[in-house]
Amino acid sequence: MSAVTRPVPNGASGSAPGAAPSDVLLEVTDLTVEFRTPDGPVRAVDGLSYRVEAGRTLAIVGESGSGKSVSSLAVLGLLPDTAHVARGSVHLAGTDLLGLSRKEHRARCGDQVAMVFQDALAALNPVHTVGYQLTEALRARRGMSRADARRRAVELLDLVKVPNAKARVKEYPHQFSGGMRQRVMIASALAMDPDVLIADEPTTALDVTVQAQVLRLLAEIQAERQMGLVLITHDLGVVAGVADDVTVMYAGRAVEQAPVVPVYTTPAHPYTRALLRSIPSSSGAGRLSVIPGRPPNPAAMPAGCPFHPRCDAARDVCRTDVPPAAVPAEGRMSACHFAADIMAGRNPAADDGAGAADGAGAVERRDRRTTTGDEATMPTFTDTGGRDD
Amino acid sequence: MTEPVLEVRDLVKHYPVRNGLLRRSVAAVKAVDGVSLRLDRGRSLGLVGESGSGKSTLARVLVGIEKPTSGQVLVDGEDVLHLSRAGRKQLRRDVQMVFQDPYTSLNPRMPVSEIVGEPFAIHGIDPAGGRRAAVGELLELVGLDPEHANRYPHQFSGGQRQRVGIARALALRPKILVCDEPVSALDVSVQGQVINLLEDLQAELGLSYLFVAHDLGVVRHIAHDVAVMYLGRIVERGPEADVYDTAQHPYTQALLSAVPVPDPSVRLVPAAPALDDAASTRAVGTIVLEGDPPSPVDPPSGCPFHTRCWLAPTLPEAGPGPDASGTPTGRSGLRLVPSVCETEVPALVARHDGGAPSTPGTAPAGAAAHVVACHFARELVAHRVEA
Amino acid sequence: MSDAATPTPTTGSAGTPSNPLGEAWRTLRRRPDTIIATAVLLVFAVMAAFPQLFTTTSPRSCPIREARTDPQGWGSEHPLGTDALGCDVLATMVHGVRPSLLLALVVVGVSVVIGVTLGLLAGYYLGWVDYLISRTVEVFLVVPLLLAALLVLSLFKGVDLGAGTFNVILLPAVVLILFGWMPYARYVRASTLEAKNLDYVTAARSLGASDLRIMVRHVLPNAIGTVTALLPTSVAGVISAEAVLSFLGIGVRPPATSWGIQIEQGSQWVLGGSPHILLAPLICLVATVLALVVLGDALRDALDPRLTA
Repeated sequence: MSAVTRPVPNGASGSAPGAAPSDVLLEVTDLTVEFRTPDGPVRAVDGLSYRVEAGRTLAIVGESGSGKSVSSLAVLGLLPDTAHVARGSVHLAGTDLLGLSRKEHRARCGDQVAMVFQDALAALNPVHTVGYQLTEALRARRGMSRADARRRAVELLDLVKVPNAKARVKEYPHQFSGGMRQRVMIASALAMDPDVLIADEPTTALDVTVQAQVLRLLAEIQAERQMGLVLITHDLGVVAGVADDVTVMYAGRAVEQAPVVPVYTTPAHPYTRALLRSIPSSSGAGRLSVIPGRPPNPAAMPAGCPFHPRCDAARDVCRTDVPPAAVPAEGRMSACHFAADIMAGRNPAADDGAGAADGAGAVERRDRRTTTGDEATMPTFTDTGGRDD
Repeated sequence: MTEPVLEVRDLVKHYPVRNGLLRRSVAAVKAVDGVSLRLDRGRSLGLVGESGSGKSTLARVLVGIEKPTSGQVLVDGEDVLHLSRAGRKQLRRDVQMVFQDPYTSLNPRMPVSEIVGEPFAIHGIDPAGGRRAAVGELLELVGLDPEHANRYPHQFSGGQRQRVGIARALALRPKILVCDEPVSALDVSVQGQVINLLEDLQAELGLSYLFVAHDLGVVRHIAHDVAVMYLGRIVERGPEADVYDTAQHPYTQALLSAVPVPDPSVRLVPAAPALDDAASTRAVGTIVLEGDPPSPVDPPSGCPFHTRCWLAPTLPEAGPGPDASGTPTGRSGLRLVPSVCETEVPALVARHDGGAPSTPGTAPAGAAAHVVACHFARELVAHRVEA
Repeated sequence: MSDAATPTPTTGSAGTPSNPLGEAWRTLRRRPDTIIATAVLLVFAVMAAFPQLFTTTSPRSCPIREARTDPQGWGSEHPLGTDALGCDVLATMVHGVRPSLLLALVVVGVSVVIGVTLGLLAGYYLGWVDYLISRTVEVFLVVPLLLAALLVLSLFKGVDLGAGTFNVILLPAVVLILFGWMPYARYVRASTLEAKNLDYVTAARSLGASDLRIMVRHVLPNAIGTVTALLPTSVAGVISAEAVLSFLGIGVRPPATSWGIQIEQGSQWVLGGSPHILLAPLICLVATVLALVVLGDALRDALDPRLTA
C-alpha cells in the first residue's frame, strides 16, 4: 500500500471551534499507520485527524493500544522500522512532513515540534551531565559555543524552575528526583524553541503533588510562548484539569473530538460516556459502572463499529457498518451512528423486535455468558466484567 | 464495635545505608517511622501517600517479606513477629498480597494452573477434591474461565492477569488482603472491573483489605477508613468521609487538591481564552506544593512536612518575632515557619472543631477516630473555608 | 480498511489446552533451519558411535611416503587426502569425533552446573556468600590457563589413566572445567540479581516459599537465558583449547585423535600447499557450532511460553 492515495479527509477534522485557521500550527489529516506483522498489516492508527493551535492544549485520551502514542511517533517521524504511514498528511507550518525524507522530517521536527516522554530516567543519558544533554542539539545543529551553551542550559533550567540551576547543570540525571528529571526533559524539549510540544504521558510516573507542579509549569510555559501543546494521557482527571480540546481515541480511531467542557457534560460517544462513568467518583459507595470486555486486538478488529462489542447502546447497524464521523453539534465530532442521541443523554431507539433496555444511564447488565459472544473476534477470550456485571 | 483483625503498633522499618570498605552502617533510610494502624474485620483501610512515604514498605512488612526494625504486628491479637518459624508460616496464610504490576507479578514460564496452585504446593495442602479442582474454583471465583488454567500469563490481558494474581492470593483463604496499588497499572476501563471484583470478594468471603494506593479516587471508593502517610509517618487517619471532606492536615489538603478531578470546571491551569465561549471556566486555586518530598535518609526535624508546608509560613506564629511586620519571606529559600514545627514532632491526636486537642488516651476507638498529626490542625478548618 | 476489519475466525484452536512440549515440537518443525541443524548433529552423533560406517581406513596407519596427499575424491583411498604424517584425514576426523564431542559435552555440562549453581547462590544471597564466590571467580580468571594446565599435569604425573574413551579426555576435561565455569557464574549472578527482585519472586516469598523453591522454580528459569546463548560457542572454545593442551601432553592422548589436534597440526600447512588438512576438521567444527547455535535458539524460543503463542 503506497502513501499516494489520499482520500478526502473526514468531515469534521478540526478539533477546536472558532479559532482562526491562521493559528493552526500542526495539522494531522487522515493519518493511518500500519505495522507489518507475520500475519499481514495491522492498523494501529486509522484515519486520525486533528489540529493543534497556538496557545491551546489538545489532549489525546485513550487506553493502551488505542494508537495515541503511535500517532505522535508518526508525526515526529520516529516510527519503528516495522511501521509505516499508510496514508494521511502531517502539515507543519504549511509543509507536509510526510512528503519529506526521513532525515529532513526529523530535522524539521527537532526545530519545531519537540517531544516529552513519560520515562525521564530512560530518556536521559546517565553518563552525561544534564547541561550537556540540554544543549547537545544547540551545539550540534546551531553551532553554539561551549560557553554560550552552558549559559543557555542554565537559562533553560531556570525556565523550568529547577532551583539553583547554575550548580545543577553540572549534575547527572540520577542526582535529580523524578519531578526534577521531568523538568529537565521539558527543558531539553524547549531548547530549540519549538512551536508545538507533544507530551506523552508526561506525569504518569510522578506523584500527584509533583504532577500538579509539572502540569502547571507546562501550562505557564505554553501560555508565555503561545505554544501548541499535545498532551497524550489516559487520565481523564488530567485532561479536565489542563486541556482545551479533547480527542478520544479507541482502537486506533478518533471516536470523539470536542472542546473539553462538552466532552464531560454531554459526551457524544458511548465510549466517552462509559469511560466517564467508570471513574470512581467522590460520591463514593456503590458498584462502579464498568465497561465490559476489553479493547479489541488490532489484528482482529470487529466488523462495524470497533466499540460495538462493549457498547451499552449497540444496535444492529453498529455490528455491520463503520460509523461515519458525525457532527452532533458545532465544532464536535463523534464516530457513532447515534451521536445525537448519545449527546442528548438518551439511548438510541431499539431495534425492531429486540427488547433492549432503553433510557439514559442504563447500567450494564450482561452476564459472562453474553460476553463470550465477543470471543469469535478476539484471539484469546474476553475479560468478563466481574462475575455478575 | 468490631474487633480488629490486624493491628500495627509503633512499627519501624529502617534500612541501613552502608558505606565504605567495612560496610559500616552510616545512616538509615527511615522508610517506616513509627506507624500504628488498626484494621477491622470485613473492612477496608486505605493507605495513601506519595512515593517514598513508606506505604509500600509497610505493606511488605505486613505480608512478611521484610522484617521490621521494631514494633508489633498483631493478627487476630497474636503477635506475628515473635512466633516460631512454623507459627509464622501459618500466620502468613492469613495475610496475602495483591501486587501492582500484573505483568511482572506472574512468573511468565508457569501456566496459570501452577501459579494459582503454588500456594498449595508451598504449604503442602491438598484441598478437598484435589488441587486441580481447587484451582478451577479459585479461577471461577475471580471471574476467569477454569478451562484456561493451562494458559500462560502472556495470553491474558492486564485485567485478567490481575484476577490471576488475586486468585493466587486467595488460595490459602487469608483473612487479610494487602493490595499494593492493585489497579494503577491497568487501563481505566478495566480498573473498575477489578475494583468491583475486590468489593464482591470482600462481601462474599468477609475479607479485610489494606488498600495501598496513590489514586485517591480509587481509595475513596473502596476504603472505609483512610490513613495518609508522609515520610514514613501517618499524618492523618480517620473514616473515609472525614478525611476526604474535612481534611485537617495541610498535606492531606494539598494532596486532595492536587488530584485531578474529571470535571472541567475544576481547572488545574487556566483554560485558553476561547473566542466564542463567554462562559469559559476559570482556574480554581489549588494548593500546589513546592519541591519534592525530602529524602527519608535525612528527614526534616520536627514535623516532617514543615519544609513543604504551605500553611506554616502563613501562620502568625511563623517568623523571627513580632517585628517581622508581615514581610513575605520571598523565594530566597529561607522559609519562616513556627518554631514548634521545626522542633517538635506532632502527635497523632484527635482535634475537634475549634477545640483543644484531646489527650491521646481519650481516643481509644482507634481506626474510627479522626486523628491528625499537626500542631496547627485547628486553624486548618477555617483556612479551608477561605480557599 | 476492509482487511483490518474482517474478523478472523480463531475459535477453534484458541480454547484447546496444549501440552508445552508438543507445542515446542510444533514450533521447531516450522523452522527449516532447525531441521538442517538437527540432521547435522545427528550425522556427527552417528559418526561418534560408529566411525566404521564412514571410513574403513585406520587413523593409525600413517605411511610417511603418502604424506600430504591432496584430496582424491570419494571412492579413492584417501578421499580427503592425508596429513603431514601420512595419516588419512577423513579417518582421523571421523575417529576424532567421539573424543572431541564427548570432551565438549562433559566440559560444558559440568562447567554449567558448577557455574550456574555458584552464580545463583551468589546472586540470591549476596553478602559473604557472594563475596566468597565472586572473589574466587576473579582468582580463577587471572590465573593463566597454561600455568594451571602445567600444575594439573604435574599432579597427574605417572598416574596411568588407561585408554578408554572417557579416560583419554579426563585430563583435558579437568583442566578445562576448572577454568571454564567462571563465565556462567558471572552471567547467572547478574541475571539472578535482576530476576530476584521481580514481583513474582516477591509473591512467592510472601506465600512462604523456601529459598530453594524460589531459586529453582522462579529465578533460575528466567535467569538461564543468557547461559543458553553462551553454550554453542563454548563448545567450539573447548574443542580448540583442547588442541593447545595436547601440546603439553594433557590433551586427548595419542593414539586417540581429536579435531583440536587435527586443526592445530593442519594450521601449520595452510600456506605450505596443503590447506585440506586444516579445512576438513575446521568445517566440521564450524558446522557443529552453527548447528548448536541454531538449535539452541530454536529450543530457547520453543521453551519460552511468551514466544510460542
